[in-house]
Amino acid sequence: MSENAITRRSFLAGSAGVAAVAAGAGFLSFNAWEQADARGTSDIDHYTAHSLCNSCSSKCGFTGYVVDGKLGKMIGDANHPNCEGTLCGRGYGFASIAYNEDRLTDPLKKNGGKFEKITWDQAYSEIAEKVKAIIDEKGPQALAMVQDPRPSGSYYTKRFMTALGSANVYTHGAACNMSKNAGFTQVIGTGDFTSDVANSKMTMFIGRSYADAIKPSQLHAMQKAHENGAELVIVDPRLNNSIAFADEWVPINPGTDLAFILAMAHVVVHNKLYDASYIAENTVGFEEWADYLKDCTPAWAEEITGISKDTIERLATDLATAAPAASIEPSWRGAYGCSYANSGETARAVCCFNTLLGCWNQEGGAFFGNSVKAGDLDKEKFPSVPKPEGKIAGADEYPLSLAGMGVNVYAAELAKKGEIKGMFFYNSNMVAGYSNPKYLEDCLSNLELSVAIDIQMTETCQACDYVLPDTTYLERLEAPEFIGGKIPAVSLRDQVIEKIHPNTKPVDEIFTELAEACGVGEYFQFTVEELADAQLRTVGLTLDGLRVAGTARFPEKTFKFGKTPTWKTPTGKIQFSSDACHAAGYPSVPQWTEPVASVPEGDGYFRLIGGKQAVHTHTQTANVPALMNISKQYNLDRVWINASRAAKLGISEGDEVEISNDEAKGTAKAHVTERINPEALYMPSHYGCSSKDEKTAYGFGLRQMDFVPFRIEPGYGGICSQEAIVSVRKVGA
Amino acid sequence: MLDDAAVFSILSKCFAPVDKAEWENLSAREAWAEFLDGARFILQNGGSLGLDKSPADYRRGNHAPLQDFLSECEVCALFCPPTYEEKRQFAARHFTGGLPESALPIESLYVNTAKAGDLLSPVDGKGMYLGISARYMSALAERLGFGIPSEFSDCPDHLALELDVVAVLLRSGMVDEARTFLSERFNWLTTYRRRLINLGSEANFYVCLCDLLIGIVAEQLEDVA
Amino acid sequence: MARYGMLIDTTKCIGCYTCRLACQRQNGLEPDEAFVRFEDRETGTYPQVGVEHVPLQCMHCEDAPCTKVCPTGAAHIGTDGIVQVDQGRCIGCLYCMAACPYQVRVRNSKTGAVDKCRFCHVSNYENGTEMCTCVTACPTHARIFGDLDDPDCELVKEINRTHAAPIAGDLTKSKVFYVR
Repeated sequence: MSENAITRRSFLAGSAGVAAVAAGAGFLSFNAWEQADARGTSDIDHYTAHSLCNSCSSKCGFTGYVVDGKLGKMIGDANHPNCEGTLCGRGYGFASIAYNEDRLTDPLKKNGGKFEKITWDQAYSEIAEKVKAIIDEKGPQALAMVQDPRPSGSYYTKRFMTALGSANVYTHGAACNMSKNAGFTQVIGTGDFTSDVANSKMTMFIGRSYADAIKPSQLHAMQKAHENGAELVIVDPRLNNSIAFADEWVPINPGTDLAFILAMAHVVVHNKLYDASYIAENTVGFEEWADYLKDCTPAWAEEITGISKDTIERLATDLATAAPAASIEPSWRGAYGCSYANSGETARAVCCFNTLLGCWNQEGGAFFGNSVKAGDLDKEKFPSVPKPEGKIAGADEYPLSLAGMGVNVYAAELAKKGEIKGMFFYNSNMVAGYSNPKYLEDCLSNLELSVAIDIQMTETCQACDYVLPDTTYLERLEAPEFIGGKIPAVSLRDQVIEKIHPNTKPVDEIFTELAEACGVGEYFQFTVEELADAQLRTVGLTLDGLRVAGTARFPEKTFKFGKTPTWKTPTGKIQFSSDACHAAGYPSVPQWTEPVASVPEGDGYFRLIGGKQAVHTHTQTANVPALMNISKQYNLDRVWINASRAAKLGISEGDEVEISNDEAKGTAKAHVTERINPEALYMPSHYGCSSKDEKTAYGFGLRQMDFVPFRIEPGYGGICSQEAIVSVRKVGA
Repeated sequence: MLDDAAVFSILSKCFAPVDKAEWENLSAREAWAEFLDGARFILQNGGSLGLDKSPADYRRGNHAPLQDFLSECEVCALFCPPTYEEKRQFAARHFTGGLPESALPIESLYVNTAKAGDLLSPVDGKGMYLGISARYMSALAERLGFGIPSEFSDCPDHLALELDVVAVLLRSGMVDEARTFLSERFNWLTTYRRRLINLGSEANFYVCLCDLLIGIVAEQLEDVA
Repeated sequence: MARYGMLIDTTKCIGCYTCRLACQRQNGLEPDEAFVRFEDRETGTYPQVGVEHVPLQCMHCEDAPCTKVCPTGAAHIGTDGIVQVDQGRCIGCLYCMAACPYQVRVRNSKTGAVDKCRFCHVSNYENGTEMCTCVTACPTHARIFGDLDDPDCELVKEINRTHAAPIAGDLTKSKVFYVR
């Protein structure tokens, strides 16, 4: 090529080199184009596609309306069981993340503390080299994966790690709902149940707000129950927004739900308000628990919980009267998903109490829905991956934890100790959200290989050496999502818009190519289309069909009330007493145990609690302008403080307050309110982003986890996200 | 002397990835001097855009040194184009998305041009990829008989492509159209320049190219007005 | 000619901002351009506390103060009683924003023009939507839209049944009614 040709080579002309066009041809000024564009849209391409929202883990189905390649309108799919036709605000706002300026566009490698773009080939080959070196040196169990489950992510991350021979696949669970699920498992042999709120006569919600952490179908059910005259009770240190459809707020002291439930159980047992034959037939350990409960009087619990003995007595009696169309709702993260050192035991007590109500699988009570799963796939195309020899790390140390979730923070500790050498993170912002960020960052800094796969530069990406750019949920097809419930369903996240950044890749391609590079590509000789179609064919559907429908239900598998389930516990019964709990150092029946952190004497100390706001999910939505705009306009970063406590400390609405403990110190504006228990200081769980790369989120509000010491709940493995005491004072006072 | 189309073509390549041989060819001392001379001429001689510069025209034009238009350190940066490796590394850290020091030269990230209630651009906005300028550039490229190269699919309004369009228009004798395009497409450079300035001295070369461009646009359009 | 209006049942409102966000997306608004504004109220003292969320938007007043101060006629009452803004005629003087007692008009930061709720179901923008976006999007169905002159429509029946009233009495002749 002559020098002249090089000088003149045009990007637009591509390989043709120098570009020129016939004089006068084709040019249209922006102004003229814009006017023509505004007049007629007839030649603009329109289409729709079904997808699943990614603004929280409910994954509601919606139809995306795409105009000229861009996502416009979104309509919730009426046949999707989680949204029933209405999305929450997050769904509408979050979708713009695809076009966000902070999207990661290229694979990155840390070089001298700063990230630099590298090629995919370089990323794959360097990562694979390190993976092989780690396996050679310490075996595959020195590798771990942490992921927040999404349909394709769950499948590919697990398959990839299994192929490498590592059992260390963790979800975010230990920092979310694992203590709850693990506690339930000890009693009823399964990690979850559903309260039939809509048909209930009474439902009690403990630390769970359908109106703040919204899954629309649950909100609809609560509203229906309210309109039917059901008694709905909110037990929460904070008066949450679900009060719109509830009858009563029980402003419990944070961390004392266990004492409250034990005292209610005392009332039911003492007054013989339970069905003795049901208990005799279905349970073990009742006598032992009843014996323990003798001292758990409402008066005893009043001292601990701050709830009057009359209220406890009345609510317990009301629940027993409404039984079996009554239950304590299973809750999720808030009260005992991962919050306190007594969370797993609180969860156990919830299931034991519901057992007293005899509500299992009763209409209006609590039930275990039906599920549908993909069957076996063609072994040629989708060969089985041999099961790793080891157990997920932490299974022995935290014997009550669930293997399907794992104690992710324990894996971080092993990284600190040098036992785990390589970690992958998919769709997981562990550093900012799972425990104390400083501590976790330190753990990760010890790794020989750290890889984060995400769409924006989260705190976890910052802490890794390699960052691989994922596509957003709108830009890819995923494996089908199977949803259990009264009528099981399967739903599809189809590709809505074309991939925006040419050098990003969807999760399925990333792990397929990583596997190839690591020498285990034989297990990934298929595309995600082939996987989705094959899975769907095992349940009598096809990918093409589901693309059109979005969601398909299995009415032939409809759940029917009335039948007592088979209890998958070691004893085959509902277990008031658990040998496993006893072996793990707990009493065999649920007993009162205090949170570890205690509030010191003095005026300025509070228990720090978190909780969701309706427009955000953890830290993952804070960089979305449409959502953050609301936070900023309505000062949603304020910390809530009880009005009478505030008055004693000289704090008025909007005052700047300093919040501090041994872990951190920071200032925030105070929201002085009657809506919170005097012991609690509420800090929303969404803010305080410390990654400058997330320009919308950065520098707004405080981060709850900064104030939370690194701690793991014995036995269960929860992160103890609310075992934190802070002192509060007015700035300048 | 280089014609104006070539000047814009070279400016374009400063902001986009080109291979090593190509960059070394462009930035070699003599070639670069020729480029600077060409750029300087359109910076100083309003109304000259796209005209044939016969030796006589050239001699008649203004010939003030670049120092009269740019600061000393900028001139230094402009006279010493980065090596291929320096250019590659700058791009790896700054022309890459999602980083604290990202400074992608993409119009959609710096301007708002959508109209209220424009359903066709529902998520347009400052700081969003594929804004209305991107849609325009795609439409324009198509009308001119080109496609947007796949590596620019998320940014048809990348500065390199906008400059390339100017080069194409000039080369095709469409000087009026090139002027119109200059007037409509390059206002965002002042905002973009601020982003570059935040990167410190490392970005001097690119800041300087922006100043050069801002100057050229002003000079060439002033004459028309 | 219809006389369109809306009912908002604040006893069903959970303050989730969905109406605002859905409106922004379906109508292609900027992140900082919101046609719905919220007032939260707290009543009582701990632990007997009540909470109320009140979403506010253009009330489509029959005597709209905004139209009276608009120097160019951009703010006007159009067909079916819908208060509209002719974007092309708006000069961005913001008089209407000052005049609106409900503080629900917003300035588009891109164009400088003022905009607000258009009752998007019937507005002449984009040929309307199937139903007002906030009505269909509300996860608790707190909103009803309809013709105030049609005694058989759900809107009028519900207003009568619930004794819904404008948020600020007879401050203006508002066509948005509230259950509180």
